[in-house]
Amino acid sequence: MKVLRRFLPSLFGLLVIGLLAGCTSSPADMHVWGGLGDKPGQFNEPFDVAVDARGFVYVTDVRNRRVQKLTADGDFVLAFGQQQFEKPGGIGIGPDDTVWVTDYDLDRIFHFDPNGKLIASWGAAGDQPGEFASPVDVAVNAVGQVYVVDQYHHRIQQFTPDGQLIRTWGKQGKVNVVRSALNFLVSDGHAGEFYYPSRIAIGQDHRVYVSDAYNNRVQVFTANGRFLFSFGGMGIWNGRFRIASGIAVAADGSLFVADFYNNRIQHFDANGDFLNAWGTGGGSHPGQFSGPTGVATGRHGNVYIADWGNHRIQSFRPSGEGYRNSQ
Amino acid sequence: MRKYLHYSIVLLPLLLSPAIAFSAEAINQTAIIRVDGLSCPFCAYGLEKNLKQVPGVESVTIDMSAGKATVALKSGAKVDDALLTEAVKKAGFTARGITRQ
Repeated sequence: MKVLRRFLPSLFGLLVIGLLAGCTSSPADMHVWGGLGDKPGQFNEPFDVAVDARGFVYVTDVRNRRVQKLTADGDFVLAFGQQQFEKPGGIGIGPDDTVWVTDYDLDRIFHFDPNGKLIASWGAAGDQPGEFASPVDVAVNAVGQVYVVDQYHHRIQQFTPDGQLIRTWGKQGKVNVVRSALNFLVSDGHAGEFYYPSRIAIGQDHRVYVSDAYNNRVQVFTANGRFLFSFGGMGIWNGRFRIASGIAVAADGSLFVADFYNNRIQHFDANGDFLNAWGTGGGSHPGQFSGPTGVATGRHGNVYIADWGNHRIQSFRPSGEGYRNSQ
Repeated sequence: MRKYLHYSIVLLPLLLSPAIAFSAEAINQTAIIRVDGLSCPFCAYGLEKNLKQVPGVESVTIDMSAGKATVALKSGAKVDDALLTEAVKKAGFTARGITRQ
Protein backbone atom coordinates (compact mmCIF):
# COMPACT_ATOMS: atom_id res chain seq x y z
CA MET A 1 0.00 0.00 0.00
CA LYS A 2 2.87 2.35 0.85
CA VAL A 3 4.41 1.56 -2.50
CA LEU A 4 1.12 2.34 -4.22
CA ARG A 5 0.85 5.68 -2.35
CA ARG A 6 4.38 6.56 -3.34
CA PHE A 7 3.81 5.89 -7.03
CA LEU A 8 0.22 7.12 -7.28
CA PRO A 9 1.17 10.79 -7.93
CA SER A 10 3.60 9.66 -10.62
CA LEU A 11 0.96 7.49 -12.25
CA PHE A 12 -1.50 10.38 -12.13
CA GLY A 13 1.11 12.67 -13.67
CA LEU A 14 1.74 10.19 -16.48
CA LEU A 15 -2.00 9.96 -17.11
CA VAL A 16 -2.31 13.76 -17.35
CA ILE A 17 0.69 13.98 -19.66
CA GLY A 18 -0.79 11.24 -21.81
CA LEU A 19 -4.13 12.96 -22.07
CA LEU A 20 -2.53 16.29 -22.87
CA ALA A 21 -0.42 14.62 -25.52
CA GLY A 22 -3.60 13.41 -27.13
CA CYS A 23 -5.11 16.91 -27.23
CA THR A 24 -4.48 18.77 -30.44
CA SER A 25 -5.67 21.87 -32.18
CA SER A 26 -6.29 22.92 -35.75
CA PRO A 27 -4.08 24.84 -38.13
CA ALA A 28 -5.42 28.18 -39.19
CA ASP A 29 -7.59 28.84 -42.25
CA MET A 30 -9.95 25.92 -42.25
CA HIS A 31 -12.79 25.33 -44.71
CA VAL A 32 -15.63 22.82 -44.70
CA TRP A 33 -17.54 21.70 -47.80
CA GLY A 34 -20.37 19.35 -48.50
CA GLY A 35 -22.68 17.55 -46.14
CA LEU A 36 -24.92 14.52 -46.58
CA GLY A 37 -26.86 14.40 -49.82
CA ASP A 38 -26.75 13.54 -53.50
CA LYS A 39 -26.79 17.02 -55.01
CA PRO A 40 -23.71 18.49 -56.65
CA GLY A 41 -21.22 19.34 -53.96
CA GLN A 42 -22.86 17.05 -51.39
CA PHE A 43 -21.52 13.65 -50.40
CA ASN A 44 -22.66 10.31 -49.10
CA GLU A 45 -19.60 8.66 -47.55
CA PRO A 46 -16.72 10.55 -49.17
CA PHE A 47 -13.98 7.96 -48.94
CA ASP A 48 -10.88 9.35 -50.60
CA VAL A 49 -9.59 12.60 -52.00
CA ALA A 50 -6.91 13.62 -54.52
CA VAL A 51 -5.64 16.91 -55.90
CA ASP A 52 -4.26 17.45 -59.41
CA ALA A 53 -1.41 19.78 -60.40
CA ARG A 54 -3.84 22.58 -61.21
CA GLY A 55 -5.40 22.41 -57.76
CA PHE A 56 -8.67 20.67 -58.64
CA VAL A 57 -9.93 18.34 -55.93
CA TYR A 58 -11.42 14.92 -56.73
CA VAL A 59 -13.50 12.96 -54.22
CA THR A 60 -14.79 9.38 -54.35
CA ASP A 61 -18.42 9.73 -53.26
CA VAL A 62 -19.16 6.10 -52.40
CA ARG A 63 -22.92 5.86 -51.94
CA ASN A 64 -23.60 8.28 -54.78
CA ARG A 65 -21.42 6.03 -56.98
CA ARG A 66 -19.52 8.93 -58.48
CA VAL A 67 -16.40 11.00 -58.37
CA GLN A 68 -16.87 14.71 -57.85
CA LYS A 69 -14.42 17.27 -59.15
CA LEU A 70 -14.29 20.56 -57.27
CA THR A 71 -12.19 23.69 -57.27
CA ALA A 72 -9.59 24.25 -54.57
CA ASP A 73 -12.25 26.30 -52.74
CA GLY A 74 -14.86 23.54 -52.92
CA ASP A 75 -16.99 24.77 -55.81
CA PHE A 76 -18.54 21.94 -57.79
CA VAL A 77 -17.11 21.42 -61.29
CA LEU A 78 -18.47 18.07 -62.49
CA ALA A 79 -19.33 14.51 -61.46
CA PHE A 80 -18.43 11.38 -63.36
CA GLY A 81 -18.27 7.60 -63.25
CA GLN A 82 -21.92 6.95 -62.43
CA GLN A 83 -22.11 4.60 -65.43
CA GLN A 84 -19.05 2.66 -64.34
CA PHE A 85 -18.93 2.44 -60.56
CA GLU A 86 -20.38 0.06 -58.07
CA LYS A 87 -18.31 1.30 -55.15
CA PRO A 88 -15.59 3.83 -56.00
CA GLY A 89 -12.86 3.42 -53.41
CA GLY A 90 -9.46 5.06 -53.69
CA ILE A 91 -8.39 7.80 -56.07
CA GLY A 92 -5.04 8.95 -57.41
CA ILE A 93 -3.76 11.44 -59.98
CA GLY A 94 -1.27 10.59 -62.71
CA PRO A 95 1.64 12.80 -63.81
CA ASP A 96 -0.50 13.93 -66.76
CA ASP A 97 -3.36 14.95 -64.42
CA THR A 98 -5.47 11.95 -65.45
CA VAL A 99 -7.58 10.37 -62.72
CA TRP A 100 -7.31 6.79 -61.47
CA VAL A 101 -10.05 5.20 -59.38
CA THR A 102 -10.38 1.74 -57.83
CA ASP A 103 -13.75 0.06 -57.64
CA TYR A 104 -13.84 -1.94 -54.45
CA ASP A 105 -16.77 -4.16 -55.44
CA LEU A 106 -16.00 -4.61 -59.14
CA ASP A 107 -12.30 -5.40 -58.51
CA ARG A 108 -11.40 -3.05 -61.31
CA ILE A 109 -9.28 0.03 -61.98
CA PHE A 110 -10.74 2.95 -63.95
CA HIS A 111 -8.75 5.64 -65.74
CA PHE A 112 -10.39 8.95 -66.66
CA ASP A 113 -9.25 12.16 -68.27
CA PRO A 114 -9.58 15.38 -66.22
CA ASN A 115 -13.04 15.98 -67.74
CA GLY A 116 -14.33 12.65 -66.48
CA LYS A 117 -14.18 10.85 -69.83
CA LEU A 118 -13.30 7.19 -69.44
CA ILE A 119 -9.93 6.37 -70.99
CA ALA A 120 -9.61 2.72 -69.99
CA SER A 121 -10.37 0.17 -67.32
CA TRP A 122 -8.68 -3.06 -66.38
CA GLY A 123 -8.47 -5.69 -63.66
CA ALA A 124 -10.62 -8.54 -62.45
CA ALA A 125 -11.44 -10.47 -59.30
CA GLY A 126 -9.17 -13.40 -58.49
CA ASP A 127 -6.29 -14.60 -56.40
CA GLN A 128 -3.57 -14.73 -59.04
CA PRO A 129 -0.90 -12.04 -59.35
CA GLY A 130 -2.46 -9.09 -61.15
CA GLU A 131 -5.95 -9.95 -59.93
CA PHE A 132 -7.75 -8.22 -57.10
CA ALA A 133 -9.78 -8.79 -53.96
CA SER A 134 -11.16 -5.36 -53.08
CA PRO A 135 -8.70 -2.83 -54.48
CA VAL A 136 -9.06 0.04 -52.06
CA ASP A 137 -6.57 2.63 -53.25
CA VAL A 138 -4.34 3.62 -56.12
CA ALA A 139 -1.32 5.89 -56.58
CA VAL A 140 0.66 6.73 -59.70
CA ASN A 141 4.37 7.54 -59.75
CA ALA A 142 6.20 10.12 -61.86
CA VAL A 143 6.70 7.71 -64.79
CA GLY A 144 3.06 6.60 -64.79
CA GLN A 145 3.38 3.27 -63.00
CA VAL A 146 0.22 2.40 -61.09
CA TYR A 147 0.33 1.04 -57.54
CA VAL A 148 -2.80 -0.62 -56.20
CA VAL A 149 -3.63 -1.54 -52.60
CA ASP A 150 -5.13 -5.02 -52.97
CA GLN A 151 -6.76 -5.04 -49.56
CA TYR A 152 -8.10 -8.54 -49.06
CA HIS A 153 -4.90 -10.03 -50.49
CA HIS A 154 -2.92 -7.86 -48.05
CA ARG A 155 -0.53 -6.84 -50.80
CA ILE A 156 0.57 -4.05 -53.12
CA GLN A 157 0.52 -4.58 -56.87
CA GLN A 158 2.48 -2.44 -59.31
CA PHE A 159 1.37 -2.11 -62.94
CA THR A 160 2.21 -0.38 -66.18
CA PRO A 161 -0.40 2.25 -67.14
CA ASP A 162 -2.16 -0.28 -69.37
CA GLY A 163 -2.50 -2.82 -66.59
CA GLN A 164 0.48 -5.12 -67.19
CA LEU A 165 1.73 -6.44 -63.88
CA ILE A 166 5.24 -5.35 -62.94
CA ARG A 167 5.46 -6.85 -59.45
CA THR A 168 3.51 -7.62 -56.34
CA TRP A 169 4.68 -7.55 -52.75
CA GLY A 170 3.39 -8.20 -49.26
CA LYS A 171 1.26 -10.88 -47.69
CA GLN A 172 -1.00 -11.19 -44.69
CA GLY A 173 0.79 -10.57 -41.41
CA LYS A 174 -1.07 -9.53 -38.29
CA VAL A 175 0.86 -7.70 -35.60
CA ASN A 176 -0.13 -8.63 -32.08
CA VAL A 177 -1.93 -5.64 -30.53
CA VAL A 178 0.24 -5.62 -27.41
CA ARG A 179 3.42 -5.77 -29.48
CA SER A 180 2.07 -2.98 -31.63
CA ALA A 181 1.38 -0.80 -28.58
CA LEU A 182 4.84 -1.54 -27.19
CA ASN A 183 6.82 -1.38 -30.43
CA PHE A 184 8.92 1.46 -29.01
CA LEU A 185 10.46 -1.22 -26.80
CA VAL A 186 10.58 -4.19 -29.16
CA SER A 187 9.99 -4.28 -32.91
CA ASP A 188 6.47 -5.28 -33.85
CA GLY A 189 7.85 -7.49 -36.64
CA HIS A 190 6.04 -8.52 -39.82
CA ALA A 191 8.07 -6.03 -41.85
CA GLY A 192 6.75 -5.85 -45.39
CA GLU A 193 3.59 -7.73 -44.44
CA PHE A 194 0.17 -6.14 -44.11
CA TYR A 195 -3.09 -6.57 -42.29
CA TYR A 196 -5.80 -4.89 -44.35
CA PRO A 197 -3.71 -2.11 -45.90
CA SER A 198 -5.89 0.88 -46.69
CA ARG A 199 -4.11 3.69 -48.51
CA ILE A 200 -0.98 4.39 -50.54
CA ALA A 201 1.01 7.48 -51.49
CA ILE A 202 4.19 8.08 -53.46
CA GLY A 203 6.77 10.68 -52.57
CA GLN A 204 8.80 12.82 -54.90
CA ASP A 205 11.73 10.58 -53.97
CA HIS A 206 9.66 7.67 -55.44
CA ARG A 207 9.29 6.08 -52.04
CA VAL A 208 6.03 4.22 -51.52
CA TYR A 209 4.10 4.86 -48.29
CA VAL A 210 1.42 2.38 -47.26
CA SER A 211 -1.10 2.77 -44.44
CA ASP A 212 -1.11 -0.69 -42.90
CA ALA A 213 -4.52 -0.04 -41.37
CA TYR A 214 -5.14 -2.87 -38.93
CA ASN A 215 -1.49 -3.07 -37.93
CA ASN A 216 -1.84 0.61 -36.95
CA ARG A 217 1.31 1.73 -38.74
CA VAL A 218 2.74 3.20 -41.92
CA GLN A 219 5.27 1.17 -43.89
CA VAL A 220 7.76 2.78 -46.26
CA PHE A 221 9.20 1.04 -49.34
CA THR A 222 11.41 1.79 -52.29
CA ALA A 223 9.70 2.18 -55.66
CA ASN A 224 10.40 -1.53 -56.23
CA GLY A 225 8.82 -2.68 -52.98
CA ARG A 226 11.90 -3.14 -50.81
CA PHE A 227 11.01 -2.47 -47.18
CA LEU A 228 12.76 0.55 -45.66
CA PHE A 229 11.13 1.29 -42.31
CA SER A 230 7.82 1.68 -40.54
CA PHE A 231 6.42 4.03 -37.91
CA GLY A 232 3.40 4.31 -35.68
CA GLY A 233 1.86 1.55 -33.61
CA MET A 234 -1.36 1.10 -31.70
CA GLY A 235 -2.27 3.91 -29.30
CA ILE A 236 -3.87 7.27 -28.68
CA TRP A 237 -0.69 9.28 -28.15
CA ASN A 238 0.96 11.48 -30.70
CA GLY A 239 2.54 9.41 -33.40
CA ARG A 240 0.33 6.40 -32.70
CA PHE A 241 -2.71 5.18 -34.59
CA ARG A 242 -6.00 3.44 -34.18
CA ILE A 243 -6.45 2.35 -37.80
CA ALA A 244 -4.10 4.24 -40.08
CA SER A 245 -6.06 5.37 -43.13
CA GLY A 246 -5.56 8.21 -45.63
CA ILE A 247 -1.99 9.21 -46.38
CA ALA A 248 -0.45 12.00 -48.43
CA VAL A 249 3.05 13.30 -49.06
CA ALA A 250 3.58 17.07 -49.01
CA ALA A 251 5.93 18.96 -51.31
CA ASP A 252 8.56 19.10 -48.56
CA GLY A 253 8.46 15.32 -48.13
CA SER A 254 6.52 15.40 -44.88
CA LEU A 255 3.53 13.09 -44.45
CA PHE A 256 -0.06 13.58 -43.40
CA VAL A 257 -1.81 10.49 -42.10
CA ALA A 258 -5.48 10.13 -41.17
CA ASP A 259 -5.93 8.34 -37.87
CA PHE A 260 -9.41 6.89 -38.24
CA TYR A 261 -10.49 5.96 -34.74
CA ASN A 262 -8.58 8.73 -33.02
CA ASN A 263 -10.43 11.13 -35.34
CA ARG A 264 -7.40 13.22 -36.15
CA ILE A 265 -4.81 14.02 -38.79
CA GLN A 266 -1.17 13.56 -37.89
CA HIS A 267 1.78 15.24 -39.54
CA PHE A 268 5.16 13.49 -39.68
CA ASP A 269 8.50 14.38 -41.18
CA ALA A 270 10.00 12.23 -43.93
CA ASN A 271 11.60 9.95 -41.34
CA GLY A 272 8.29 9.26 -39.64
CA ASP A 273 8.96 11.51 -36.67
CA PHE A 274 5.86 13.19 -35.28
CA LEU A 275 5.43 16.91 -35.96
CA ASN A 276 1.85 17.83 -35.16
CA ALA A 277 -1.74 16.62 -35.05
CA TRP A 278 -5.18 18.15 -35.15
CA GLY A 279 -8.78 17.11 -34.74
CA THR A 280 -10.72 16.42 -31.59
CA GLY A 281 -12.71 13.35 -30.77
CA GLY A 282 -15.36 12.47 -33.21
CA GLY A 283 -17.48 15.59 -33.53
CA SER A 284 -19.03 17.46 -36.40
CA HIS A 285 -17.83 20.99 -35.71
CA PRO A 286 -15.32 22.47 -38.15
CA GLY A 287 -11.92 21.05 -37.34
CA GLN A 288 -13.39 17.88 -35.89
CA PHE A 289 -13.55 14.56 -37.72
CA SER A 290 -15.76 11.53 -37.72
CA GLY A 291 -13.59 8.78 -39.13
CA PRO A 292 -11.26 10.47 -41.62
CA THR A 293 -10.42 8.08 -44.49
CA GLY A 294 -8.60 10.13 -47.09
CA VAL A 295 -5.95 12.85 -47.22
CA ALA A 296 -4.45 14.82 -50.09
CA THR A 297 -2.08 17.73 -50.33
CA GLY A 298 -2.43 20.52 -52.84
CA ARG A 299 -0.90 23.76 -53.87
CA HIS A 300 0.22 26.30 -51.28
CA GLY A 301 0.50 23.54 -48.67
CA ASN A 302 -3.25 22.94 -48.52
CA VAL A 303 -4.37 19.68 -46.93
CA TYR A 304 -7.72 18.12 -47.85
CA ILE A 305 -9.42 15.54 -45.66
CA ALA A 306 -12.23 13.14 -46.58
CA ASP A 307 -14.24 13.38 -43.35
CA TRP A 308 -16.13 10.16 -44.06
CA GLY A 309 -18.57 10.02 -41.16
CA ASN A 310 -19.48 13.71 -41.49
CA HIS A 311 -20.01 13.37 -45.27
CA ARG A 312 -17.83 16.36 -46.01
CA ILE A 313 -14.41 17.57 -47.06
CA GLN A 314 -12.33 19.76 -44.81
CA SER A 315 -9.42 21.78 -46.09
CA PHE A 316 -6.65 23.30 -44.03
CA ARG A 317 -4.02 25.79 -44.90
CA PRO A 318 -0.87 26.14 -42.85
CA SER A 319 -0.56 29.19 -40.70
CA GLY A 320 2.29 31.59 -41.36
CA GLU A 321 4.51 29.46 -39.19
CA GLY A 322 3.42 26.21 -40.80
CA TYR A 323 1.71 23.22 -39.24
CA ARG A 324 4.43 22.53 -36.75
CA ASN A 325 3.75 25.68 -34.75
CA SER A 326 0.02 25.85 -35.20
CA GLN A 327 -0.93 24.28 -31.87
CA MET B 1 -77.64 -17.73 -39.28
CA ARG B 2 -76.07 -20.96 -38.12
CA LYS B 3 -75.51 -21.88 -41.76
CA TYR B 4 -73.54 -18.65 -42.41
CA LEU B 5 -71.48 -19.33 -39.31
CA HIS B 6 -70.55 -22.75 -40.63
CA TYR B 7 -69.56 -21.24 -43.96
CA SER B 8 -67.47 -18.65 -42.16
CA ILE B 9 -65.66 -21.27 -40.11
CA VAL B 10 -64.82 -23.19 -43.27
CA LEU B 11 -63.98 -20.20 -45.46
CA LEU B 12 -62.11 -17.99 -43.02
CA PRO B 13 -58.96 -20.14 -42.80
CA LEU B 14 -58.98 -20.49 -46.58
CA LEU B 15 -59.25 -16.73 -47.04
CA LEU B 16 -56.58 -16.02 -44.46
CA SER B 17 -54.12 -18.71 -45.51
CA PRO B 18 -52.55 -16.73 -48.39
CA ALA B 19 -52.09 -13.77 -46.08
CA ILE B 20 -50.57 -16.00 -43.43
CA ALA B 21 -48.31 -17.61 -46.00
CA PHE B 22 -47.36 -14.21 -47.41
CA SER B 23 -46.54 -12.74 -44.02
CA ALA B 24 -44.50 -15.80 -43.08
CA GLU B 25 -42.47 -15.33 -46.24
CA ALA B 26 -42.11 -11.61 -45.60
CA ILE B 27 -40.94 -12.29 -42.08
CA ASN B 28 -38.10 -14.32 -43.52
CA GLN B 29 -37.03 -11.74 -46.07
CA THR B 30 -34.59 -9.94 -43.80
CA ALA B 31 -31.69 -11.44 -41.91
CA ILE B 32 -29.95 -9.45 -39.21
CA ILE B 33 -26.43 -10.60 -38.46
CA ARG B 34 -24.54 -9.53 -35.36
CA VAL B 35 -20.88 -9.11 -36.22
CA ASP B 36 -17.99 -8.41 -33.88
CA GLY B 37 -15.16 -6.06 -34.78
CA LEU B 38 -16.87 -3.82 -37.31
CA SER B 39 -14.83 -0.70 -36.83
CA CYS B 40 -14.37 1.24 -40.05
CA PRO B 41 -15.49 1.42 -43.67
CA PHE B 42 -12.37 -0.41 -44.80
CA CYS B 43 -13.80 -3.56 -43.23
CA ALA B 44 -17.51 -2.72 -43.40
CA TYR B 45 -17.29 -2.38 -47.17
CA GLY B 46 -15.64 -5.81 -47.32
CA LEU B 47 -18.41 -7.37 -45.28
CA GLU B 48 -21.03 -5.68 -47.43
CA LYS B 49 -19.34 -6.92 -50.61
CA ASN B 50 -19.11 -10.53 -49.44
CA LEU B 51 -22.71 -10.65 -48.24
CA LYS B 52 -23.96 -9.14 -51.51
CA GLN B 53 -22.28 -11.97 -53.39
CA VAL B 54 -24.44 -14.60 -51.64
CA PRO B 55 -27.10 -15.81 -54.14
CA GLY B 56 -30.53 -14.53 -53.13
CA VAL B 57 -29.29 -11.40 -51.36
CA GLU B 58 -30.97 -8.21 -52.55
CA SER B 59 -29.15 -5.58 -50.52
CA VAL B 60 -26.98 -5.18 -47.45
CA THR B 61 -26.92 -2.38 -44.91
CA ILE B 62 -24.14 -2.20 -42.35
CA ASP B 63 -24.57 -0.45 -39.02
CA MET B 64 -21.03 -0.15 -37.72
CA SER B 65 -21.87 1.37 -34.37
CA ALA B 66 -24.46 -1.32 -33.61
CA GLY B 67 -22.24 -4.07 -35.03
CA LYS B 68 -24.85 -5.55 -37.28
CA ALA B 69 -25.51 -6.24 -40.95
CA THR B 70 -29.08 -6.15 -42.21
CA VAL B 71 -29.46 -8.39 -45.24
CA ALA B 72 -32.56 -8.00 -47.41
CA LEU B 73 -33.31 -11.13 -49.41
CA LYS B 74 -34.89 -11.31 -52.83
CA SER B 75 -38.56 -12.20 -52.87
CA GLY B 76 -38.98 -15.94 -52.46
CA ALA B 77 -35.27 -16.56 -52.03
CA LYS B 78 -34.21 -19.09 -49.44
CA VAL B 79 -30.78 -18.31 -48.06
CA ASP B 80 -29.36 -20.58 -45.39
CA ASP B 81 -27.76 -19.09 -42.31
CA ALA B 82 -24.70 -21.19 -43.12
CA LEU B 83 -24.17 -19.29 -46.38
CA LEU B 84 -24.42 -15.95 -44.62
CA THR B 85 -22.10 -17.12 -41.86
CA GLU B 86 -19.57 -18.25 -44.46
CA ALA B 87 -19.72 -14.89 -46.22
CA VAL B 88 -19.09 -13.11 -42.92
CA LYS B 89 -16.12 -15.37 -42.28
CA LYS B 90 -14.73 -14.74 -45.77
CA ALA B 91 -14.88 -11.01 -45.03
CA GLY B 92 -12.69 -11.58 -41.98
CA PHE B 93 -15.34 -11.49 -39.26
CA THR B 94 -17.31 -13.85 -37.06
CA ALA B 95 -21.11 -13.92 -37.10
CA ARG B 96 -22.37 -13.93 -33.52
CA GLY B 97 -25.97 -14.65 -34.35
CA ILE B 98 -28.53 -14.36 -37.12
CA THR B 99 -32.14 -13.39 -36.58
CA ARG B 100 -34.86 -13.31 -39.21
CA GLN B 101 -37.58 -10.75 -39.59
